[in-house]
Amino acid sequence: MSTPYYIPEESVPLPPPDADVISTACDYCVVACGYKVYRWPVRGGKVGGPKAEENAFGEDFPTYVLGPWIAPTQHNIVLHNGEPHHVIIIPDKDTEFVNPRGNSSIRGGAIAQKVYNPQTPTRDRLKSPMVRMFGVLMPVTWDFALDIAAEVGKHVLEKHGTNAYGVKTFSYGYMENTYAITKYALRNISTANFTFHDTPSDVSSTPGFRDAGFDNFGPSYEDWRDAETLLMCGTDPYESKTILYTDWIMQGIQNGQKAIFLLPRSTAGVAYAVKNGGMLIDIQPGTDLPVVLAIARVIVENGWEDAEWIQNWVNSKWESSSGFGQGTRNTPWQWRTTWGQFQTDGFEDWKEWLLAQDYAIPENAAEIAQIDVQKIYTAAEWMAKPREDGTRPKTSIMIEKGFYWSNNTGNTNAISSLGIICGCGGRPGQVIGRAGGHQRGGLRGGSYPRNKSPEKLPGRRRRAMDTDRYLMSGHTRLAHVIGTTWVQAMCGSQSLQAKFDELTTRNPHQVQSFDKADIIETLKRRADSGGMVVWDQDIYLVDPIGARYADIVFPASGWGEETFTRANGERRIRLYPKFYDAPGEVKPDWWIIAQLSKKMGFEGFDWKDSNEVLEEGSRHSRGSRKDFHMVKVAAHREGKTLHEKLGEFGTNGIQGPVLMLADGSLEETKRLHDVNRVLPKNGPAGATVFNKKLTHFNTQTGKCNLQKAPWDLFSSYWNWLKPREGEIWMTSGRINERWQSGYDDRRRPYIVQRWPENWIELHPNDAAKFGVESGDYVMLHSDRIPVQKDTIVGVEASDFDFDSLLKNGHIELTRAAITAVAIVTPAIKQGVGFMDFLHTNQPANALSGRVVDWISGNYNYKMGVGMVTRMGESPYKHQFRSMSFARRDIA
Amino acid sequence: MSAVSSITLAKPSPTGSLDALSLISRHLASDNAVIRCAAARALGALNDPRAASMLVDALMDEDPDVRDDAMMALRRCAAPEHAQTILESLLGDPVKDVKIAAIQVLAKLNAVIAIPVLRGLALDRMEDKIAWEDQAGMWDDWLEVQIAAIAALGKMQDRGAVEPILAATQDELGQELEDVAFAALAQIPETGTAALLGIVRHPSDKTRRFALNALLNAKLSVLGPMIDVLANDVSPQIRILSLRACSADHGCVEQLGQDSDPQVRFATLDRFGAQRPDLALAGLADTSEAVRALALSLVSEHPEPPKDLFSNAAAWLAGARSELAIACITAMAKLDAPRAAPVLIDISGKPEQQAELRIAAIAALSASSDPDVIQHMAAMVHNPDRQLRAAALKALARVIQRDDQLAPMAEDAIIAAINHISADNDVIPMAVQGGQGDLGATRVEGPTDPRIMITRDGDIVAENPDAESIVVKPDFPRSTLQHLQDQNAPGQGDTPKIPQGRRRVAIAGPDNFATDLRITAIGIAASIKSTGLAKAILECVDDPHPDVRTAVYRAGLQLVDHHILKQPQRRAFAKGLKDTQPQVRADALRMLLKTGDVDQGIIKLSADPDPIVRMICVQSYAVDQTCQLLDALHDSAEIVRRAALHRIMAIQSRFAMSKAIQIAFDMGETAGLGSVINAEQDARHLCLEILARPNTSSHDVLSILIAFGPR
Repeated sequence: MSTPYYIPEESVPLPPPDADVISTACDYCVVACGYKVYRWPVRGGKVGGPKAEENAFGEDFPTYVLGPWIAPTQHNIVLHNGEPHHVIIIPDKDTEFVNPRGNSSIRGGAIAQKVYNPQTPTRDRLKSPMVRMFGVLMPVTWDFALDIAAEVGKHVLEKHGTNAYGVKTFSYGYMENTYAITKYALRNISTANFTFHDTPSDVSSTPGFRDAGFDNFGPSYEDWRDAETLLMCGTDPYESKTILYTDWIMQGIQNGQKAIFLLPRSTAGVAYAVKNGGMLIDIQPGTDLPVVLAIARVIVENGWEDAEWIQNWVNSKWESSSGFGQGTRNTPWQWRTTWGQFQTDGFEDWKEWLLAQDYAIPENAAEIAQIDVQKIYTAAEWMAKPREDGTRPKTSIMIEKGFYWSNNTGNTNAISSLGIICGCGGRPGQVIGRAGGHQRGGLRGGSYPRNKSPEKLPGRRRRAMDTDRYLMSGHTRLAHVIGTTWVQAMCGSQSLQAKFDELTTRNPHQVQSFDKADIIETLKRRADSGGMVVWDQDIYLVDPIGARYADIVFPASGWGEETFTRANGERRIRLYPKFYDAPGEVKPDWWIIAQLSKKMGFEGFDWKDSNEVLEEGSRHSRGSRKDFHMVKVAAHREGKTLHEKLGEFGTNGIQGPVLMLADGSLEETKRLHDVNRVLPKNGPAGATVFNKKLTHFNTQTGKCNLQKAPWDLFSSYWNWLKPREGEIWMTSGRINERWQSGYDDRRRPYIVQRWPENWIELHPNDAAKFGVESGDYVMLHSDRIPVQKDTIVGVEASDFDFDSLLKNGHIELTRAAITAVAIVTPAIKQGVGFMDFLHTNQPANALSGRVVDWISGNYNYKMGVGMVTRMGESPYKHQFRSMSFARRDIA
Repeated sequence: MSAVSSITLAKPSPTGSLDALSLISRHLASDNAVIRCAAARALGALNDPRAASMLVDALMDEDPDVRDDAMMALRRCAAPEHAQTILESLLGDPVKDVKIAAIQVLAKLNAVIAIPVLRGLALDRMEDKIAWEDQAGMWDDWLEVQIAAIAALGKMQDRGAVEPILAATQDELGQELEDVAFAALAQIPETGTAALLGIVRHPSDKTRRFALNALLNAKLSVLGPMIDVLANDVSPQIRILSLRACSADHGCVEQLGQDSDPQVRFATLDRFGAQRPDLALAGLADTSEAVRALALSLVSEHPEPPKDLFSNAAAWLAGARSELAIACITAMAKLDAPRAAPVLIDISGKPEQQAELRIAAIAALSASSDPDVIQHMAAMVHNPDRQLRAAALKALARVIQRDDQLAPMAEDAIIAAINHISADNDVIPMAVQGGQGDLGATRVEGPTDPRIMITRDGDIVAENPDAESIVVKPDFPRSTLQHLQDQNAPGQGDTPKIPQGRRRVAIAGPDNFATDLRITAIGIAASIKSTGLAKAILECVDDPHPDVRTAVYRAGLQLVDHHILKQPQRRAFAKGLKDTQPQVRADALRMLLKTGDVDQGIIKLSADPDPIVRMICVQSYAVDQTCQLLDALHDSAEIVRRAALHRIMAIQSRFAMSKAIQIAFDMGETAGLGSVINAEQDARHLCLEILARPNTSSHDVLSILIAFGPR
């Protein structure tokens, strides 16, 4: 039997002049390029013609280079108001921001293929609620499914308490949905057993940024372009945020920007930077901290620090002395003061500490990271050395998951301090922030009930519950999983999966009835017996969380199927209007949550439509980086709804926080911490919030905190974990062609053919050692994946150091194996293997240790080790139809 | 790591010298905040009023979590004399959780002194009087404090709070509070309810709805005189809510049953249809399918339904959407099973029908006494769609349970499904009525095929032949999928075309039909008390497919409950103890333990690699197996350790219990102590004894305090 292969389409219709034109934005990465949807009915056979007056673009075809050309992948047929309609979905050529050239990534460029069409591979969208009976997911009515969920949910709350009711949800799936979900989980159920898709606990992803006073998404895209030196840590934006790179950073590089990457791997973006005078600091995983501090050390030893900035914007000894710069009141940061590991008394104190650290000596850091020490000196020079005329380079720092998921607290502390001494913060081209992964669609409908979490640690405020460990300890009796794979997305995936099996499929109480009452009783019995029931809410049936474990499946609608709102990586808020009918009985997440909540007896879920949800939630955006409350006020004053008002901004959107001026007009915010911004002297108009971070930093004084970043808080784990005989580092990340778990990509024939399986990049020397060539199947395996166990009774801080955990029996070593296709390339550092981060069948996270950073509560996803065993040749080795073993790091 | 080197279980002192309150409270002075937190929680859990003053002192602790835990604990034991201090905490403690707990305590104490502050907090942050945490850019703590304050004012029935509560709801820039505020107003006699009655006439639908809901939830009789007004409200949702205030014989019910809005008619019928057959009968003529579906299900339950009801249902079925169609199917089977049979056979056999309808039809057919129906269901058992297979098997099971002359036929059909092993174990014969597989179902038409149309529900139906052609070009739009199917379809010319009107494609399940069918059949067969079915299941006990064996052993557990297996048959399951599949070993063990057919194999299973198997072993240990139970406390899996601890408690061996507690401390794993000390006075006393020792390690102290804490 031959392997099916992809045949491109050959034709695509042009939209006629009277086609509906709907402004929206891409659904994928954080950049969120502006798009337009052209929609017109199939009925009647009308299509646009090649003359300008015959098509919606007003252009003669064939058109000019980079004109409004349409690819066949940008066309689809959908139902709109029950009638088949053509849709053409292309980047907006008229937009002024984000993608002003009308450019798109490979992901967004084919976004029309994600919409539901039963004639395409999207046909397996979930279409009706389902309940598992006799081991089979049976389609049922909404009432049937919701009645069961509500009854069992109420039982679990009553009998086992709120923390037995776990909710694991996406954090970004539009503000209307996240508001409804958090209102349900945090305000009404009030469970501490709650977290988002990418973390075991509801905690900050960048603790060091928060302590320094930086917002993650303070910069604007043009700041990345305007920097003269740009340090990018743990990401190549070309691979994962393509337009941010091609339309902003590349422009900077072309203007002479010195781009530095801190990564274990070279990629296309790196290659372009290097070719144009940039540099790759090719560290081995987890060694960012010594290298960052070594760069800082070279800077301060040479006196290159930005003294004026430090004088004006860094907390002095007196300012830092109480509450770690967070004031005299008790704050979430207070514990770090108590531990005394991070706090400094200002620049001189920090410098003294830095110079005393052996690992921050450039030669030592280079040895740990296995890099050329000269790169440290060069980076320091580029970032901070004043020119002969005394002017300083405009330096910015960008971080992302490869960096902050390697040594979460330590890396983010260290980079904050490096940024501060370089003067990064709140000025054009001089910023520090995250590049971002997914878009920013979170809106809280309740606060986390921290006092219900069992995680009280010495000298610090109680931290959010580790939901994975809570589940592993058998305390979670009901898991409501919303739009996440959970199992594959967390570390030590395979042992987590074994626990799911134990609690669900292996529990004796399985539904063997069609009767609603029987089903409810069975599921209650399962929960009472120490097992767990699972509700899964998603757009596709995901294995195993939906296909294997879910007792109830709620089908959700997504992009284009409901009117939603979301912000991007520069806080630009846009409306994503509904432009086609969702399949079957599918409903938006907010609706599902509202119906379930009402059946559970919760008040305040009587929303008519998604606009009502957002209008209710807008008050809760006040003070946040995407504060849009005044847009609602303006809308109501104009007799419009919030959605209508947001829609008026089109693909340009409006950049938050949004202020209302005295004349009632709205003012956007280009960048946060904008020290040059002048706010109205008369103060905020009406209820506009002049948040401190508009013009200052997120600290008590409004100035930044310089922090220590001790390597020894992490080094015990790193030293234990680092590869032993026969092992290499196993790390992972995104690639350009795939988005998240590939839920859309695996339904695109081209992408399936291009990347049919997960793969691992291996250095030629490692490959030779393992006897592996490009195209070979390899097994990646380890029998020492550390997994933190059970409830740990800790009294002293030292109880939570990895060595202590190991010594006291709180670490269990588990085994895992996944397979991949080898790609042998010198682009990857020797001793490191790199995989796509979330292939659901071959999850790289299976090889990462499930041990949280004890200060932040986050996983260090990028830190795994394992062995490589050749299994044989893959079918792709000798044919050129699928996969490619060509180098990706070419410019 | 433990300070507990040796434990001897002492009898509790008759004088109660080991006073939990004093032993625990001393740890409120620990220099470690973790221990102080645990002590505060444990004191609260004692439910001892004497703890209150100590907890009040802890409200000045430097650690915010200790203060929070102390305030939470005070919810159980605070007395009116503590109100002033608690109010001071509300004002001075910046931590939101402390404030909210303080408000709850004050409300519980009905502390009038707090009312001015609570009224103020209902409106703003009272920055001049109240300390707040500075968490710029994060959650605004006041929002939750505001809600807590409003709820407290309602609970305290503060008549003066009506105005500030109403003002809070009218703040253009505030959070939406109507649900919370109106619930509070509903609790305030006279002034609160009067305000709500006024709001029930508010121009906003949503506001009226919240107000009415609050009044209804408070179960007040004040709405009685307003029912007529509410029943004539312009908002359908208000009219629906008005039903909650009506009785079945109220004059408004008939009016609402004929409301212009179908949702109102549905709600009326749903609420009163069972008591008012006239409403149900009228509902049969309703224009709304949802109302008709409900009416039909109600009327078909009636002892003497209208004569033409079956014919009407059959007629509606032809053009109805899902909800009404399912109601028609169910009603027809109820009203006249023989007449319904051909129609239901037709529906269930048609691939183009929605899965829900086909499943409903199959379920309804189980009421039939027609052998042809059984044959049809037997054929449906082999349908490629696993959802239909399961439905058919369950329908056959119902026939067997009826125990009439058709039961043997149905039993044979299930046995055939259990025994079915095809040549390649992958392919099962298509039922006569069954359509083609998914490939055919989703195949894209070629240029010469008739054009199709997609409905709102995602159904693919034939385009109206009278409509203008929608074909842009003969080959447009072409698709990759079409090409792939053309290239790869086996016997291209033989590929069946999609019948026009093919509808939703259900989740079809695993590719291995035969195995999946057998597994489902075994599961359903086990629910029926039948020696024939039991025999068929038993014959699969050595099946080479692990999933089939897993199903057999899970079924075995149910068969044991039917008491139809003889001992040699039960013994056959013993081989499962050596199976490669952990689930099989676990179920085999459970089964043998149930029947008492335990043998030496169990001992070996105590070292099984699977923790569930080990756990079952532990649960089976007898009183004289305390050594094994104590060994199990060292197991690497928590479920095994927990099972061992519970078993030790169950066998009530004081020796074993003391040893168990010692092991728990030695291992530093004391998570299970809480359940032990709650259930056993001896264990409780022992833990207090350890707590009383001056040299007890801080880890052990913490373990004990956590154990005494709230569950």
